[in-house]
Amino acid sequence: MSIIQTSTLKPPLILGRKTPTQVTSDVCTVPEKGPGRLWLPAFLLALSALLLGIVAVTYQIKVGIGTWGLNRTVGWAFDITNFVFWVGIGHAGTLISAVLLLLRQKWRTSINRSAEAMTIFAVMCAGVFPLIHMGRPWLCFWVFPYPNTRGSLWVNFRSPLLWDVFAIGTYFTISLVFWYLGMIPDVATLRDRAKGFRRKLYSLFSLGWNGSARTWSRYEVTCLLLAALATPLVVSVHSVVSSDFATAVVPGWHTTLFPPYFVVGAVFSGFAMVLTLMIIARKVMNFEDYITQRHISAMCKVVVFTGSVVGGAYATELFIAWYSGSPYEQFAFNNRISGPYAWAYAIMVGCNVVAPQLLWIRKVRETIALVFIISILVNVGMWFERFVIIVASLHRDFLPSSWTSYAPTLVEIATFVGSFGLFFTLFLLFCRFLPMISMNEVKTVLKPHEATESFGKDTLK
Amino acid sequence: MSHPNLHGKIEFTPPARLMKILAIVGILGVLVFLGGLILAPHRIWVGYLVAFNYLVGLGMAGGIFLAVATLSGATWANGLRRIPEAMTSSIPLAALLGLGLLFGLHALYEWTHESVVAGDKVLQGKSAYLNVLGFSIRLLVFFAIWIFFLRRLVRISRQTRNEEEPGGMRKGLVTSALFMIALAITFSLASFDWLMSLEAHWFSTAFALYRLAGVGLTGIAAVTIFAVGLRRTTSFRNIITGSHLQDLGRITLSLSVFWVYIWYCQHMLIWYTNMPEETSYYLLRNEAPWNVLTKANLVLNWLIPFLVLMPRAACRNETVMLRVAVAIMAGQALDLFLQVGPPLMGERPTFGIWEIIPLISALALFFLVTMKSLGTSSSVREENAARARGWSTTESPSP
Amino acid sequence: MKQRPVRTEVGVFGDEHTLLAAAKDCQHRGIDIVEAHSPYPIHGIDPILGIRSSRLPYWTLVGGTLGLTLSLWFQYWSSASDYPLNVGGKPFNSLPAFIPVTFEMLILFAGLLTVAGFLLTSRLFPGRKTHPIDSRITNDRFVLIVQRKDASMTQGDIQTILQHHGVLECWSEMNE
Repeated sequence: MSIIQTSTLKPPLILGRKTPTQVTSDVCTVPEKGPGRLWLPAFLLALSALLLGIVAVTYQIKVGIGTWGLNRTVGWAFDITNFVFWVGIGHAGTLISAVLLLLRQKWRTSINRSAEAMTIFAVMCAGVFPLIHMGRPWLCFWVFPYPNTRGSLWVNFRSPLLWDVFAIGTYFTISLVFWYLGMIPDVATLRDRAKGFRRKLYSLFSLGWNGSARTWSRYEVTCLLLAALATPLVVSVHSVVSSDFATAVVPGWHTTLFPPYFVVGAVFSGFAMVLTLMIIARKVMNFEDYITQRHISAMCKVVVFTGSVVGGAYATELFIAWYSGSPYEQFAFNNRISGPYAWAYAIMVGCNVVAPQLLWIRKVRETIALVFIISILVNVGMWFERFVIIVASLHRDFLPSSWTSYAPTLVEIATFVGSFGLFFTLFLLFCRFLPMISMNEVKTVLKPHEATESFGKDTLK
Repeated sequence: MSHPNLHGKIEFTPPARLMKILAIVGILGVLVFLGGLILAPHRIWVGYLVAFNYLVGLGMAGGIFLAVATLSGATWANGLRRIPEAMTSSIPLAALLGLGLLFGLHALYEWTHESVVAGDKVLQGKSAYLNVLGFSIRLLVFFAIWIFFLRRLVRISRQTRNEEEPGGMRKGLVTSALFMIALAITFSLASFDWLMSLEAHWFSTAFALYRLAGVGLTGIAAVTIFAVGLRRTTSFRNIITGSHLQDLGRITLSLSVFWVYIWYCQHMLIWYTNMPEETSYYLLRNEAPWNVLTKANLVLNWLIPFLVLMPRAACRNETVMLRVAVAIMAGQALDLFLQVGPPLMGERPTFGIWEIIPLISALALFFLVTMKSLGTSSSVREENAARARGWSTTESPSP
Repeated sequence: MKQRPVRTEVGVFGDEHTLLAAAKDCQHRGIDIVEAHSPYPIHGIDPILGIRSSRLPYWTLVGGTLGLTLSLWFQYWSSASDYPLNVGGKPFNSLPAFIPVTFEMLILFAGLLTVAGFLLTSRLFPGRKTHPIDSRITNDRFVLIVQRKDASMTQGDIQTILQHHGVLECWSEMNE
């Protein structure tokens, strides 16, 4: 039966000719025996950043958000930039776990677990900022439509800020459930290898998983259904976030392309963050056989594609601003390019549009140091994109007498550093205590040729 | 399960009678157009512009299909490649229609009227872009670029049958990537030129993407129609399998949802901010009698495909897929009519022979040239058939 | 309900292909396939075990429909009926602005109900007792449990069949 093609082009997904037994022992080593030497210093660093953030947040809640650099013209700046930045980071996780599952892209199996963890932690970091921005975070339950003694005065469902609550809430819940569901079989693996207290703990969380064929069958259906739900969800989340801006009449904010443009930008920044994390993690955790050059190349291609689309969106915005004939639109974009925040615009274009173009070249994709640098640049560039959109559009509004500028205070910077602390603390805890690579999925892609041939045998018999 | 005929040629001979009918309808369209120039010069151009854009969309969709399939390494689509390859053959015809369009600019576009521009500051500002010379040059450049890339894409797609030739693969990847970049620029500008500038004051950054989503949706519907047709009339049944149909159904479903997503983004954001220069676009379209068509547009392009194709089994059903594809083809024609009609017809849509015949004969010509091209290119070499079959089995999704 | 104790044969395999071959052979010879356990899904085992296509999509559909109707109704009721407020000149019933929340609730309900359906039908819950046949099932072992239909076949016959397919270990168990 020579008609079954065995592709000689594609290298194996997992290197080192691993057996399922080896996969189990490789992945379980860290949760069972502890991580390598680099883990503790990294964790302490992250924890100190988190502590700095906690101090800053406590201070600004006590004193009030007058501690920020906001003013009457620039009412949104650092906090909302960080909010959009973190939500965007999360999107790659869902894309890898849901969209690539639907597209049957098998290379996702060794990175989807950690990318999903990244999603959940990034959304947590994002949630912190609007919460503090409320000024009275202890009244945060007012965002929910509950019967109250004020009439009942319901929340305003026409407000994009309320859509955010529902979008982020749903996104967090579904991502968490999807992540946990994917982990159940692997937690069962840990359970069956553990003794004593740890065994009891893992038993509790593995929900009595026994790997029966009937359960696996339903499990796969559930994963596909959740993926089919998570895919439009991830698109909706950043569309809703973009509506925070696009439903306003502020020039530079109101443009119909914003929802899809934000979604692509989010995927772009998210994949850059996954690249950054994975390049570090494969070294530190010794997962070079699992997260291979092929994975890095695949993610580079996504980055260069989405980066180019983002560039196209910038160009469309500029062209239509001129084409619209609206003096306000034209001013807003002239001000972005040549106003006081021109340096931020230059960083944004340089990091998001120019730098990733290097990834068209195969040599660059295969030089991990360069990929790492580009991924960092994209992270920086995407942060500045949100900063440019928010601050550069607001600081010179319709009324020249109220034009002003904005600079972040130390409190705001400390809070931002703190959000990185929160993110890395959680991520490092995840790497330490949970199976960082989805064992049950990796085991299915160890021998692709064999699987292919057996399928052919079945159908051609 | 029937075995594929691995050694014989699998050929498609276009049915002579059908081809004759299509040719007659095509010629009829030309006659009606010429008659319309004399009898109803203001109405005929509406139908002409709709037909022109429809034909361009169908041809470009073939190229987009090939490029996306190559870039994403979608080996499952190899068995279908002949169809999008053939679809691109309608682009030279569309280019011809494009040349004809240059004679109708005055009837269609407000910005060509010098007296109007003289009294309008905004239009004066745009005249550096919106002028007859620029429009004509751009139109020629678009078609030159498209024909160049489509010919290359089709040639590579037909040559690189064996995936184990990395050289051929690389050439395909590079051409596809360059085509997509060129397409992003040229297609955006083309949609601004040909459709958005009908309402010269109105603008929307999502417009090009909206058109692109529509083109993708029409294209996949056309591919489905040909796939089902080939399955029913030829031994292509062995190459175009049930899992191909299912994949087409899944793509149709996602593109339909994507189309409505862009529709909603544009509509909601303009509705929400309620700025006069933007809402003008929806003023006519959301009021009676146009609003009936606006709703029908959503039903045909989104609601029907979404509800019908949601169960997986429906995607494997030839008849269901064919009907949904026809609904989408009709829906996309309606969508174009909704772009072109309101600014030129005003409050009441008029719909008669001058609007419908150009569209129908353009469709007839599309089917004519595509089937002719399929007839000449369809002889599939044996290893090609085997490969397509091998892939379609190995890549079939888990139940 | 009290059932007669049933004797089942348990075979432990090293990979899914040998298990699948053994299962097909057993089925061919009229031996009942009771269950299979594996560290990852075995594709092709479903028809042998007689697993029908899942009804979980209906849970999703019900959840989605519930989320859609409840949230749309609630937004309409609270904004246009119970306490109508003019916000920014928008109509009380602002359907375009209600779509995002409606969509999010559709996804939330559909997703949660799907997972609930999965956990309920598979009887997975915290504290559920498992009696692992082999603790390596979640690592690298594939277990097939078969049961003879009639007396014409002895325990030894079944074990011979399994051994023919490269079983690593096999034994008999009495199940309640």
